[in-house]
Amino acid sequence: MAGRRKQPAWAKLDNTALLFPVISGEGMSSTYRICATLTEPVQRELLQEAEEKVLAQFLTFRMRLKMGFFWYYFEENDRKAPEVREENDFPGAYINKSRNNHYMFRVTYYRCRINLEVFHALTDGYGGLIFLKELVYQYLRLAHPKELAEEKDRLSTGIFLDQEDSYLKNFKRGADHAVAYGSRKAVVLKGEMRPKGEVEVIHGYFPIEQLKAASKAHGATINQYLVGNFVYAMYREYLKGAPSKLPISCCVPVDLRKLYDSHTMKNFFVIISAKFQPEKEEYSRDEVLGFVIESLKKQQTKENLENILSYNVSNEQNKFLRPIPVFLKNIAIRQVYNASANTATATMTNVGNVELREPYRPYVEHFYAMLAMSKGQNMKGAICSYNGTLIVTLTSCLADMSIQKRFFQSITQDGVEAVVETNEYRASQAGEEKDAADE
Amino acid sequence: MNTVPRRQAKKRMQQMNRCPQCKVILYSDNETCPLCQCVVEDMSREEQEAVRARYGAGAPYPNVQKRQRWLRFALKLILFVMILTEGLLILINHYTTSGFCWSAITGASMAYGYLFLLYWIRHDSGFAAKVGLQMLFTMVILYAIDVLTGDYGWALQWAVPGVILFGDGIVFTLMMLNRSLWFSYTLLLLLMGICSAAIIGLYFAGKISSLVLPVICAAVTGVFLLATITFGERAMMRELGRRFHI
Repeated sequence: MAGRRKQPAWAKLDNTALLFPVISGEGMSSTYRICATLTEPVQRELLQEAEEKVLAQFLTFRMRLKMGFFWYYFEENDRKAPEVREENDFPGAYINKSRNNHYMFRVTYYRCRINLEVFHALTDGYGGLIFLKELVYQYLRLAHPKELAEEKDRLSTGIFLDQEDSYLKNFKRGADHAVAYGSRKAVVLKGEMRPKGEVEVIHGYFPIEQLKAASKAHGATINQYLVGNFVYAMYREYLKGAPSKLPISCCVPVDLRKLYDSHTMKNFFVIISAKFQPEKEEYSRDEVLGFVIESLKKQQTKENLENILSYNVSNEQNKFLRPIPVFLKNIAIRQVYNASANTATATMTNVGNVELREPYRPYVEHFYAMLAMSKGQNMKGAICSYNGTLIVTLTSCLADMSIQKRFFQSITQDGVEAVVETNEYRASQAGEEKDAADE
Repeated sequence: MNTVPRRQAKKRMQQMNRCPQCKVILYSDNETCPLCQCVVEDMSREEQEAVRARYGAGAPYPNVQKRQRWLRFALKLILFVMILTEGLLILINHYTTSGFCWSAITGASMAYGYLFLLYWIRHDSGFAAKVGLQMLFTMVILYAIDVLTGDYGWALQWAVPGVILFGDGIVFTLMMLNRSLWFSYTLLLLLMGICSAAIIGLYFAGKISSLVLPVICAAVTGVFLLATITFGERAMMRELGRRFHI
């Protein structure tokens, strides 16, 4: 009866992942999308083959979520790799695991773009990007066997498949941890919403050199400059430049891998918040940028990041909380999450600069990332750069686009060239697709 | 296979415009800027080529709004038919057997069926969890029907043990169908064991009068559990270790 099958590997959820199974559902997917745009149309069969080959080597992605009596956990999933499909939903749609062979990611494509959507419990942007890069390499090796004949058909040398829980490893026991997150409410972007499930996506392509120059002129890093402009756009367009009792609070995830010399494929980040509270009328853009830069600098210290990490993990490690059954924990986690959902206005994440190996570069045009909406946050931004171009992707479920407009206008004011693309269906696409169907 | 088809390559040449208000270049062939709704200005062919050389040809999105919503429609249709049927049954009940409200039972049964249809379609939990929860709710609803229709005791005496036996059958079938992961149904089997013990307890609490079916039920579940523990000791213990890790 027991069979001869080896026991499946299993793993506990990391500190960040504990939240996502509890709060996620059709209404809030807790997924993110990372895309690679190729210079040629994607072939479904080859992408499927590439996914199967790569998945076999990434245990982190070859997991399913299971519910234990006290905690959720991951168990190795030996089902067939999820089917690669042509994109047929809005970005960041919920990954229904029971209809996805219990995998927590999906791969879709549309024309030249490969999309990887990942449930955040599995891994963060760093892990997702490693998987996508290997998927793209594998796909290109299959699509161009002659041109890439010298490339070995295996994972790239030097990537880490480490699955340690870096939160636990770097958590300092016994230390007194200050409360890392404020419970103070922040401005919530409200207004007419798009129909349920619909998301407006706007990509802004910027030359990195020009962005660097503009950021430097404001005494900021590129990240601080972009977050500052995002906050300014919300201040101008949502608060209309008026004073507010509540601050605009923009969450900024910070990757902890460099700080702790970690190479884990699991989640390993903490969130800091760029806060700006308008106390008088009409702050200038420079003033808002100044507040945001100062706010971020103050929080991006080693001590503060260590404190946030330790605070987060200390709750998980509490010996009185651990033996509480999971269904009771879920109720408490949901309550805490709902109560804290109004403490942030938006999120702006930076997945970093993507570098591809030389032989593959001519085949890939862009990489970009985007985040799904979450409770209380109706707009989010994601930054990704590749090959001298930085792409900021703003996603929103609000019908009004004035914040996005102000964001791009602010940056072009500084002399930065911007190319914008949206997920609006183009008139020419309908004609092309009709032609294709006719043929 | 390894070259870009010419027609598809041509398709990638998306029209570009410039918004004079936002000062951005747009990968779009619409007449207005998606950000500010200002009418856009055309870009020359050379300008477009220059932008493509720097930023690529853009990557449009599909028209997902056209996606078929057949599942939502089917569920609405089922709900509509159920409401109509129940209305009709209430009328028949009222004019034929006014002393006995059997249409409440049909209504509750249809509501139960519809809610579980929604649960099975929409809820993203595993098969075993769905089966376990459905078993528990079925027992509760059978007991409720019994109480509402005169409290004759048939639910605890016969129906609930029947559900437990049916549950044992389902667990056995699932284990056989998914032999390599049979141990993933261990918790479901334990749930059946707990229910069997509870039903015997109800006899000693005086809630049921006959021990026949509860004993059969407890015996079947007990033998099943014993066999699982005996033959699958290690796998089962590992599964329990995972399930109950603190």
